[in-house]
Amino acid sequence: MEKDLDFFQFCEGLIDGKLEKRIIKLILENKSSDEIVETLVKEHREVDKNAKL
Amino acid sequence: MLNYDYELIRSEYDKEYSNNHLMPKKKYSPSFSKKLNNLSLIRGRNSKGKSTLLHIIALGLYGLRNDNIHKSLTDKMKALINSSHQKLVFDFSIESEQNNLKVISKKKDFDSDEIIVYEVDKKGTEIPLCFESFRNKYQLIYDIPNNPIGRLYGLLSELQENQRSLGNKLMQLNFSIKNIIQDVKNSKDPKIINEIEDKINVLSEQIKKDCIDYVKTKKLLSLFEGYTYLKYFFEYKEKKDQAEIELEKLKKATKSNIDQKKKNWKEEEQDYKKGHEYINLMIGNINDLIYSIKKNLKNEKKHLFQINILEKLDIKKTMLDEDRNESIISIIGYYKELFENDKANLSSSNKCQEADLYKHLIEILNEYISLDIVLPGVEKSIADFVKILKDEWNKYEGLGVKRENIENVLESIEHIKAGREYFINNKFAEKMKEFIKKSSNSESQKLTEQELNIMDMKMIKNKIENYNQKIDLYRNKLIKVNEDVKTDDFSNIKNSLRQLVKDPIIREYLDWEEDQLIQKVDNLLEEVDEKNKEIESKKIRLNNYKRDHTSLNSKEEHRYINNYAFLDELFNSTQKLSSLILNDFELYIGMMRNKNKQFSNHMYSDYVNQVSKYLANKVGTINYDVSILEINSIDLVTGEIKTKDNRIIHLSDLGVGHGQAAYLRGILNSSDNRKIIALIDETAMMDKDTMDSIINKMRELYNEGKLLLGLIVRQDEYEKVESLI
Repeated sequence: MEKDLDFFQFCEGLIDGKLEKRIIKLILENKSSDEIVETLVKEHREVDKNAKL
Repeated sequence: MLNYDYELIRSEYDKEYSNNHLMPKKKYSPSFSKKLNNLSLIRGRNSKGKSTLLHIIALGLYGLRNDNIHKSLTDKMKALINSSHQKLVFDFSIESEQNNLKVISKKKDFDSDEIIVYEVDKKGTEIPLCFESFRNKYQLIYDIPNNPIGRLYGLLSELQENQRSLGNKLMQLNFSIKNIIQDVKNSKDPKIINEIEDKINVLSEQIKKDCIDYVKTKKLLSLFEGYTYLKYFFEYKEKKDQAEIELEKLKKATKSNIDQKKKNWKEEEQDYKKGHEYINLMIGNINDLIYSIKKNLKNEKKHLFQINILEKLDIKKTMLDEDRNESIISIIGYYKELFENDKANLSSSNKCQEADLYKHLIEILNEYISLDIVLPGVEKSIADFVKILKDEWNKYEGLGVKRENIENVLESIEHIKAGREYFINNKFAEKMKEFIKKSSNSESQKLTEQELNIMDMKMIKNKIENYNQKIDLYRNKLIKVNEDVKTDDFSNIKNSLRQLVKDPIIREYLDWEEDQLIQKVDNLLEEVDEKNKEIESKKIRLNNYKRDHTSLNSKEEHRYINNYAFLDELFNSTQKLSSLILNDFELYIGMMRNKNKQFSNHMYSDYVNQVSKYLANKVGTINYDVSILEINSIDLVTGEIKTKDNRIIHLSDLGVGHGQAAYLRGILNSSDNRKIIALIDETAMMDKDTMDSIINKMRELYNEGKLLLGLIVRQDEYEKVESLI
């Protein structure tokens, strides 16, 4: 499934949490599981890195 | 561009009639242009093949497997290929210059259901499209917007499908994360390796301490086992020896009792026999006495009465009957007195005195008869004078016999009396009666249980048996503890015990009872066993850690090794999300379909609001009251459409055409980035403005490159195909 904005907005309105919303966004962008984990880990590392600075 | 062609052979008579009359089958082929623009409006009267064209295109693009196509349409598609009265072949291609691709579908054989679908890419390569591939790349919309308001609910199916798809993908993602976490766990992690090393060190140290503790406890156990087993082996041995001595004593005492019993019996038997002899003797004496008395009394009848009584008397019975003892004594007493009187009378007579004188003289002279002298006075020798005296004494011979007989009778009386006294004084009657009684009772000759010491011996034997069991028990325990122990060497055992008693630990327990010591040994055994098990268990754990350590060291580090916690968070989040979507959202959408107004459920209320907004975004606008209104929300539970200018329009108030438009915009908007092939039939109920809004929407999609083919069919009085591009 490629990104469906309407459906994403629908989900976003019902789900709390940045991480959860990001997961759904990546799924709707039709990313594979490995890609999703890779992306999220990378983003998490960035957040960690910035927080330490 | 849509290039198409088809041939439909249909028999319009019933089968039997057709066969009997050789009626020809009718062939149908396109009546419109075989080339249509990608967005076209086909107008015409009924039975001109408008709908057939749409059926064929849908059929050729897996329409029969598309759940979103209304059953009335799939039934018509099935009729085209599965009916006995008609057969079909077709071939069409949809070409998009914008997207540089071509989708082709063919059914070549009238008698085969096989439909070949493939696409041709920029390079001219033909790529087969199975159902799944087609569905992933293209969205086939084929609809007749009848009952459009009711079918707005159909938009919920699309939402539900999206939800389920998302939920399933979340589950897949969750599963992948779980696998990654497992891979990370199994990878080389310096932190975990350090932790394992720490655990190995701690565990090794613990095992070392436990082993020391184990050895200590085992020594203590050995000490207590040695002391307890030796002590009681020895103690029971002594007790057994003592009991055996006691038993021996009892045996001897029993034997002595038996001997005594025999001796007593013999004595009693002798007494009986003796008594019996006495009785017989007495009977003889009494018979002799009766005879002598009768002889002496001759016919003196007055004195014979007592004799008659004595004769009739059963002497034996009388002798044994102590109560009748006096019968014999009184009878012989009577005769004693009688004969003593006779004897006194006889002795006092002159003749008797003379006879006595002669007798005494004869006796004296006989002593001197050898002397040769002449007696003065009579002038006779002693012998001659004795002869004269004897001649004279002989004249009194009868008198002497009588007196002798009387004396014999008196002597017999005295003899019987003495015998009788002896019989009474020695309690012969009593003893004989007792013996007769015992002789008739066999039990009386046996010894009593007490005399035989049966109970005492049984008790002691039981004790010995018990002691033997204890001795065997402790012997076995001793051998188990020390195979070299010599249980027959009591002095050695005694020495060992003496040594153990001197041990300072044992000294504290000297006054403990057997049960207490055994309990102590059991506790120590249990303690030793538990410690051993604990050590073994720790050794296993240690080996496992060592194996893990080796295994982890041999692995490579995982790229997410430092993100373990985050992966864990991701795992939890995806799990929670998939559950929310697959369970909660699934429940809420069902509640919405049932128009459930349980808005007190906060989550459900939020869900309904979001669905209302979602539907509003899908439909976008409605033509109402000669104006186009932008929609804010479509609440299918309350049946209200809220517009951005705050108007509330009830779904029931919408005209059919408006409803159709809203629904069509909804399904057109519901597309994702897949290429849309939209086939819309039966739009005659829409007015021009409403129809235009649909056409504009499709045109917008086409211009965005999202619409591959859009065909709208509308019943009209004349046939016309309009390009809408």
